[in-house]
Amino acid sequence: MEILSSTPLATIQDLGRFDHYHDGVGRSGAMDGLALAIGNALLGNDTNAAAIEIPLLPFKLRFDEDLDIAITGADCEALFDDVPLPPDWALSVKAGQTLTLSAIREGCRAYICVVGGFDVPEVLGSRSTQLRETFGGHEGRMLKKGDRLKALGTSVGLPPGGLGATPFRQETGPVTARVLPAAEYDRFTAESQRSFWTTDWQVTPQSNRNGYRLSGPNLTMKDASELRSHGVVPGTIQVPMGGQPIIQLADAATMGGYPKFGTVIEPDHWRLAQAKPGTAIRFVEVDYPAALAAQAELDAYIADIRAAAGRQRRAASGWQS
Amino acid sequence: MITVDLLDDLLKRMQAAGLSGLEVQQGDTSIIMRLGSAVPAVASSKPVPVRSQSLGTFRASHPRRPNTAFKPGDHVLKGTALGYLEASGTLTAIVAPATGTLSEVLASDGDLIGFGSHVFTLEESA
Repeated sequence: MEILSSTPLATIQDLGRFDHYHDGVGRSGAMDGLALAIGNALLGNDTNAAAIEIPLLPFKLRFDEDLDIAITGADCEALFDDVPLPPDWALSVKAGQTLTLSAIREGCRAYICVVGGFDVPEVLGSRSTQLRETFGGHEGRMLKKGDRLKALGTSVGLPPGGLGATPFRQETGPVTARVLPAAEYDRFTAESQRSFWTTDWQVTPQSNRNGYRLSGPNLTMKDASELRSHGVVPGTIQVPMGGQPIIQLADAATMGGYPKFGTVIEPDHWRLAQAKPGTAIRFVEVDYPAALAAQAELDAYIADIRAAAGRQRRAASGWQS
Repeated sequence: MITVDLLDDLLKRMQAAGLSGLEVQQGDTSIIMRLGSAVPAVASSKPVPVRSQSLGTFRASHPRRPNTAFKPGDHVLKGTALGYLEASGTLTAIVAPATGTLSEVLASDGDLIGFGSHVFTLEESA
């Protein structure tokens, strides 16, 4: 397929690049791992198949072969030629047809998944784009107009009219992210601890794949002192000198020296990924068993979609043969 | 020179573009065309039953887009998902087989729908 128009920051991402922290190579990978998982489940792909992550719209591409694809993540105006598509939807496309993603209704990152995932070289065990280090993905960079991409597969026999997934959970009000208190939590004042859990934190425009800067009351330490640099993972909430927290995300550096207040648990990273600047985020304290239970709940949701999508595809293939 | 062929062509262009008025000038000849609202379509419409090609629980709106159900009178493009059938975590679509105007919605949210059920009726545009 050929990219007819793109905005900056669209990249190829899979689950991420693991086990290279000792080389100073961070995880990268899809910001919204749930959207990637839904797309790959609908298409029957490997869970690590690479997709296009699109944080800014519009985005337009033309297919040059018959192919099954899925659009997931942010709910945006998606036109397949002229026909509007539902969110979280897999469909069969034909050579010459176009897909246009524009105005966002809800969320802020859209994903295009293809059968087999995108055919880009695997580097250090992943196809994710490592933007800062300029390797991985498509030529180690953001996608741009004129780029040509190929899928590793073609068709999996979708039902006529396509195949979608029911949403994980419909929520209203502020985005909630569950947090495990981290190493320096006890060194913050009681007042700061209280306000952390009760504030509607605003996502500021200084937010991207590296991390989100939040705005709210200042968090202060009882004993402000320098720390040695320590490991940082996606989800780590650091509090720099100014007192306004930063959530480190997919493209975070592997090390940092700011005090760590907490860590957003992995099954809630997708909620952050879809929180655009201006969104209110509320943090809820959990313990380790609750974090594992949350991950198990999300895994079960994906497993159900994967199993049901498989049945739908088999039924559709039966009808067609 | 203004010919009957030209008038036919102009009329088709007006209908295609949805214009109600048009003024054309060629040298010192001009013509003004006005279309009333009662101008019939080029060909009359015909009702088309829209049937399910899957089974599940009927959802008139996509669960991520509440209150967006199609109603009689809505114009829809061929290929548009008119409604959804939910089955254990997945959704399939009941798709418009042609471009036209929806005339009947025969299922309610939550109804169990089987293969081949007549769920919508569409007046196909020519």
